[in-house]
Amino acid sequence: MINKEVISTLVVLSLMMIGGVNSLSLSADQGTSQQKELEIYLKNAKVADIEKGGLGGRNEPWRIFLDDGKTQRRAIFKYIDRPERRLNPVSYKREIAAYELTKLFKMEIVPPVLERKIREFTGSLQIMVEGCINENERKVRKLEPPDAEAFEKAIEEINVFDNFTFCLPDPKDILIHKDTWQVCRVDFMEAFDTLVEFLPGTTISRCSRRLYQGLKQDAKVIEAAMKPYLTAKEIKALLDRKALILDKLTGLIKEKGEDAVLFDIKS
Amino acid sequence: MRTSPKKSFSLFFGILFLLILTAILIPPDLLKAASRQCIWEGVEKIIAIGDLHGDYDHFVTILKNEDINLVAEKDNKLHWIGGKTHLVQIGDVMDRGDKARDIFDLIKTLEKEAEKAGGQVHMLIGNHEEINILERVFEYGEDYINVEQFKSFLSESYKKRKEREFKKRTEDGGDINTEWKNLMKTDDGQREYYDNFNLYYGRWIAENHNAVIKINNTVFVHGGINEKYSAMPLQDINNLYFLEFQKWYRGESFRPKILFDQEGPLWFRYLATWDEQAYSSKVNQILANLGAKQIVIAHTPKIQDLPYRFGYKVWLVDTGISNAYRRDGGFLSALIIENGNRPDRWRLEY
Repeated sequence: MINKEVISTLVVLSLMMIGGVNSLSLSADQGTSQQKELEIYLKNAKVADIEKGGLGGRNEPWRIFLDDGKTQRRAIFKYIDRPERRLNPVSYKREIAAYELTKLFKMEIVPPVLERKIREFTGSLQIMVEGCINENERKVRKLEPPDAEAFEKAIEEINVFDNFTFCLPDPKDILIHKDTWQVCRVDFMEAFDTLVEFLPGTTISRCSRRLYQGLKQDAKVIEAAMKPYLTAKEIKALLDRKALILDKLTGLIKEKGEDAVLFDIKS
Repeated sequence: MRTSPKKSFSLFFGILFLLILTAILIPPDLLKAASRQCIWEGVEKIIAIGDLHGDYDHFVTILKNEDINLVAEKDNKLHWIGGKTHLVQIGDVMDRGDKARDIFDLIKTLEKEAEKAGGQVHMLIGNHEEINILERVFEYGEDYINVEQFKSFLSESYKKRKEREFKKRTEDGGDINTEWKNLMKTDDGQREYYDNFNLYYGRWIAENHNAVIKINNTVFVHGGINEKYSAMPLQDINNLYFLEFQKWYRGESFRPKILFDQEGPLWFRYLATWDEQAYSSKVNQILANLGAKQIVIAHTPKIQDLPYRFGYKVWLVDTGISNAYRRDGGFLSALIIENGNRPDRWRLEY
């Protein structure tokens, strides 16, 4: 896990929230042009400098300074890959898995990340974009979003995504752009647990339409997209949680009506 | 009124029965954990030292310095001369440097001698001790563990066998150091390191040391304490570490509550990084929960900064004491708290 307090002052891409998703046959290759552009950058830009230890945290991520000759950007590099260890299994691959899921669902809530080798380690390299504050800090500073409803929806969408990926909620992992108030979620190293249940202490009461549609996708599509990054057990649990969440949402829709449960996220 | 011999006899056996029942029902781990002291009152002088990261020489330089004066050399050995002073080493003896084992050996001696003299040596558990005990230090590569530390915790027989093997292999060229580095990357080398480290040092650390202590009105902890943990009695925090380490050593699979917790006392970093204005009420709440006036932390190197934050409420003692921090301008330091006065930082350039 990275030191979000530091990162939140640096991070996040200018998220382009896309509206409702209709297609049920998306592929993991898809993604917006901005995502693709950043992926190419992450893949090809030269490593100009590496700062180790500056971010702190148990998984000791490195801050990477990238330069493609035109633009300098910062990125986060994580390299620990121990999904099978007895206590606190972690893997950098889960960062990529989470990003690929959001691409599949056409939700730009995770900053672009891909696998790359830096020095002796292969790991995940995730773009950092400037100008963010984390949710914890927002509360301490008592900052209110200009559009409270939109902000609440974004947080609720992250709550469902956290339940799907079994990523324990941490307000420091929710990054909010200081100017646009667009929201994203980082740090999935410890997500994708093999438990099939709702996250403790969370309640699903609403969901964005795009995530709901994404969850309704064929399990095989999700399985194929996750295969390079997750173990078979983790994929099975992910798909079982997908069914669990869909059951919950279907029940809520029956009870309260679709408009009370599903909402659109404005771009 | 005198009790009849028959009644005394029944009472004696009744109490004996209860004691035996208690001993059977309460797990020995819990009894051992609960019996370890973590709060002291009425201590006149406290000296706190931050992350050492394998730098035995710098540690000894601090302890022997005339301003600190806690150890002296006699018969080629270092001995406690600190009397009733409490020395608090706030964790992270290991990694980055070469001589963590020598530091542990010295601390083992000083712990006994200080106690006899009416003082105390408290070595707190740091996150680097935790990642060695939990067998994950090699995941971080050579930035954390170098060849010298690796070799120092191997068994003598294994080390000699490997030395012979590497000598033979490099007779016609090659580098013995590279051979050791390669061994560090193998399952065999790592298994030997972890087994031997845990047998002689890891268990000693986990079973006999606290993560957080309070002396007079000051709390000492490696990383920091967040609001959640500050609401727990210190004894409960230390017991939780103890019990989870025991589960680890027993080979149990479990979901740890405190081990490797990013927000836990060994990893929590925000007391060193939070904005002082925005978070002052949070820090006040933490201290109120702890019933403390101030908290002393290590973990987050603060080399160029003042040694305190939040109006003298949070004190930082990781000044890059280890030679591994030479490039960053690290210096030797200790925090001296005497007669309830405001802490005073002692420093020495290297």
